[in-house]
Amino acid sequence: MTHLTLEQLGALHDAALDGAEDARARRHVAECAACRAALASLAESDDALRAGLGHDPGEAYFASFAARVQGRIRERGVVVGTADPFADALDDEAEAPSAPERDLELPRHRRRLPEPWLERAARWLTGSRLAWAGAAAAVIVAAGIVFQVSREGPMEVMRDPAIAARSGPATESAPPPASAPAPMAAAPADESATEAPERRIDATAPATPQRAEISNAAPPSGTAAKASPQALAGRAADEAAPTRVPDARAREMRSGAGEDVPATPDREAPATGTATTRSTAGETIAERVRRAKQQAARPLAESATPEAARSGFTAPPPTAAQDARLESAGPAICGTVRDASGRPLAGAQVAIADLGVTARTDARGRYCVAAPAGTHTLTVMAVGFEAARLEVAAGPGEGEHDVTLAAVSVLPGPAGGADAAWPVTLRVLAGAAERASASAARTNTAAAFDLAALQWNGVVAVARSGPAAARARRELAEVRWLAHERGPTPERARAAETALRSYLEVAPAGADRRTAEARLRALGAR
Amino acid sequence: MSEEPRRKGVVDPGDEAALVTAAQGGDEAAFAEIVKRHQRAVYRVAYGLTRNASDADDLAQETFVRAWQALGRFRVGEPLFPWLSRIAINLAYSLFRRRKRRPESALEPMLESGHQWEAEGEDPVEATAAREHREMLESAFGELTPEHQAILTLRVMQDQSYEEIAKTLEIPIGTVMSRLSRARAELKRRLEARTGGATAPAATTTKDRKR
Repeated sequence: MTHLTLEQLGALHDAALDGAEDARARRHVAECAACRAALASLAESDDALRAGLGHDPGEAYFASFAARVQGRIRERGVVVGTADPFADALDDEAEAPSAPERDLELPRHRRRLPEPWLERAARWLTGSRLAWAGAAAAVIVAAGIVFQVSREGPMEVMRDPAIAARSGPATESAPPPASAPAPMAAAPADESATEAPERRIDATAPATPQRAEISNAAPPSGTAAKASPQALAGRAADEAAPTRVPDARAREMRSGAGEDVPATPDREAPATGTATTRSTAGETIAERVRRAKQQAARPLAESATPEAARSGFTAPPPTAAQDARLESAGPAICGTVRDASGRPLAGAQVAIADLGVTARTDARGRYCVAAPAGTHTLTVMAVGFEAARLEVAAGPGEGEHDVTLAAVSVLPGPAGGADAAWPVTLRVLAGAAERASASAARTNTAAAFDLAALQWNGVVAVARSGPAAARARRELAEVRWLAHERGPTPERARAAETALRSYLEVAPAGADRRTAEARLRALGAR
Repeated sequence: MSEEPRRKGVVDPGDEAALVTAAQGGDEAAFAEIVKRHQRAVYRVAYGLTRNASDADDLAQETFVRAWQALGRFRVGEPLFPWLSRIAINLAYSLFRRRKRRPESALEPMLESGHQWEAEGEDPVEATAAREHREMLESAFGELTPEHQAILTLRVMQDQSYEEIAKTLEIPIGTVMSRLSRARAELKRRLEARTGGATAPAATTTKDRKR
């Protein structure tokens, strides 16, 4: 059930809704106790305000009011005319000289003393000028930070001999990439040869492109250019934030069933929502989080075994040797995030929503996240860039997943993931929904996913049929499921079930369909 | 006590147009009649914005003085009250900017105007609680932005419709809806911070008595 917004409740209370909307709102209020309570509270507040701030000066006051007004008009010699009634005649500059005179009209106890310079300065500091100055300073600082972050690249890395030495073997052994599908059009072959010195790493590689351009247009089933597993050996330090493998889920993934079995993902403490679900191992979410935190505190070496990797967290940041151990410890999703110019993006956030894990790229744009074997949705975000989302596979034999982010365009362009052939309205709606999804992935709260669901609902309503509708239904099912996962409620469960069923009506066979079916089973809908 | 209608719609627009036309020609008696028709409503707006009888009196009078000065600009046939409300609100904004002060307690204006506040027939404990709640409400209201104060005053105190508020403040109706929602939420938040969750007094309100 979708509750009425505060605006709708206010408009209903104020009798400002039109006929059909008013009827709908009243029907909802009749059925929804929460909205009824909110409406009653709003009415109570208004009544309190009316009673508390109302004031009747009495009949005598009003009996002589008009005469006082005319007396004031005559005293000032004001004539009827065409003066601007909204001119600010009470501004500081105009009124300051006569302020003492004006004060004389006030009762003695309310007259102001001459204002010392300290008070004038304090008044300026609390004025709107300071707010404007602060806002301008904040904009300049933010622009400087964005510029600085976007400029971090291999040049700084190259100055560090230790890092450069570690990166050497990996680059020289970098093999040609696997062939990429058409939508993931790879960079032109001569691009690497003409690259700037900052991309010396790529210049040593064969002319065949190392990576594919993965823009926001990547369809959910898109893939990234992959380097061979050998390239992982001797990889430079990854300064990624802590990664973790949910215990029970890892075991389920390796159960040998060969399909994604949805499990309640681990949650970082403080856990949100009630977290009442239990893992198949029988322990509560709180217990799993506590155990995971204990394991995260251990050095990587202690957990650098397949068993350890399956059972808990791995500690950051891995060095080249640790990369190798990580690889041997279990499957991981690793890669490099770059901008459209090929420069690595440091500090980009990488998230795998279904595992509830996030990481940040290091100074060389690298990330590495431990993940159980299977297909996962990888979301990559960075300030000043459009978020990217793609399906990646983790497991033995899977290579790296490099991602290229497109800068945010000033003018509204094609929506993220939207086909250029889509109508403009649909593209704009889908773009907004994409941004809401990316924001939800960052905040990782039920409420954020609820908001994203509202956006995708709008896209579904407009798209109606075709590839756009299929994609919108898939995205809606995804965020509805994640909202329910983050904050389980009967309403969210019902919404997730509806969205999953809607998607399954159009979903083609494949991993996404299997995931949706498994989630529907988990909701107990079958 | 005769009560001027709260809604502008009760004033005969044809009659008002004639009064405005006459006043634009310099007819002081016609303007005095306009003042009498709108004085209570303008005073309610002024008091809602200042929460102080002295300032409300000053603001209300100044509103009509400004209206007299600018009456030549006013388009005859349009409703007068939204225009008067806008003048009052702009004057209040100017006052806020100039003084940068918070509203005084509810007791002071009562004393200034010669009114005495009594709790006749009421339980003193309940009366005190109601007074304290009113003071907290005024304090919370005083912390709102001028825009929020204005829109709440027009809607709650003056019972203006969204269309009238949109006309008065010269904003779209959608903005009226969203701004009103935010103003109510902000007031409730500030009041709950003071009262520990109660947004209305537990006791009945006390009566004001003229001395």
